[in-house]
Amino acid sequence: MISSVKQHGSYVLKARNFFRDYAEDDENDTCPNLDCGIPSRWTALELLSVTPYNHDTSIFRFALPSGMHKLGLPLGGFLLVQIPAEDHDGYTPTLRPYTNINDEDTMIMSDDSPAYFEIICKRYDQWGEKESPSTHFLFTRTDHSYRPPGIASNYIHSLVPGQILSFKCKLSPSYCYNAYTLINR
Amino acid sequence: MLTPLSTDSMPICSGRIGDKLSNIRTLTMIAVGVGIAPMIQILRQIVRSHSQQTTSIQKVTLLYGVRTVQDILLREVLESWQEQFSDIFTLVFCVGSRWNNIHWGAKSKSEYIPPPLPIGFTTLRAHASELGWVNEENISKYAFPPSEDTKILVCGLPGVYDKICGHREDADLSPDSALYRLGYSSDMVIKL
Repeated sequence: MISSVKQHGSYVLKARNFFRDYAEDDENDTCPNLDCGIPSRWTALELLSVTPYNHDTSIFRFALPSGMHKLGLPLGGFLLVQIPAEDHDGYTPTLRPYTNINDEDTMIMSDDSPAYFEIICKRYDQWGEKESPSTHFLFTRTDHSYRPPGIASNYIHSLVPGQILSFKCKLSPSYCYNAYTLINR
Repeated sequence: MLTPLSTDSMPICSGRIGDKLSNIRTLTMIAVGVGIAPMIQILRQIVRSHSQQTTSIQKVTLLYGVRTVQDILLREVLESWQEQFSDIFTLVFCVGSRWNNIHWGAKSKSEYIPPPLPIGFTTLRAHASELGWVNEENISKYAFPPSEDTKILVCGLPGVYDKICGHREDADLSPDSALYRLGYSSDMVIKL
């Protein structure tokens, strides 16, 4: 099914929100995560530190839930990040997949520093020529190159150590057969 | 049109990616931009089980596409693996955009003067570095040919899936994708 939104007097195709089925915590979760440090329910985790990597990318270190010694994300699994709705459009939370990049076997832990995991996040600025009613006249003056700024990446880059972010562990949807009750959505 | 799926025709959550990678010999990874993160996770597991001799994977090739050399994420990790595990791991960078392959303003091939190399291009310590996008030509040059004991992992932004293997939500390869034209079948390709 093609969804579209009305913008500037014409219907513009809207990208499908790939992860929107995961927004709610499902009691009958068809993809249980057996041995992952983060459950398949939304878990608020604290940001420990931010390490800049290059001009637009940083490595974010989050604390694991208390009592966990390592993340143990299964291969092909990912961490879903939830950006609250009130921080961008006020309607739906934004969900994005991330994968931890740190080597868990060489993780140095002590009593005062809890177990952690790290994700790498690239910040996306807005890009291309912004479309307006004048550029939309018969589609002659737009190259459809406009991309809005990244919702999740800008939100994560605005966090400071001590703030929290909601995480959830998921297997890759390609390998969750019948995870959806409906297709063509 | 909404079509209900029968829930008892297929086993639920039948395959993990670790099972998919258990009985293969060669593995090709295609990562673009931030899509390197799951590849790092899988590569770390592969080099670890290779040193413990618990994996059947003998060769891994990573095709990593970025716009500029500065955009390469986790470069020191990848280059250290390239040196340390050069018998199993092959690293190929594809630096540039699709505009690199268009010869602006040239009337003939002999007249064409190539643009200067990207900044830092010569400092890359990979097996090979290519100019331009991860396209069909680069995949056919570096990826392992289609066979039963090979797999291809694809990860990147949504446009990458559309060009290389078809939309991410679709389980099958789309007929106009690069991997389909190169002769790969749906069960060889894993869309991360």
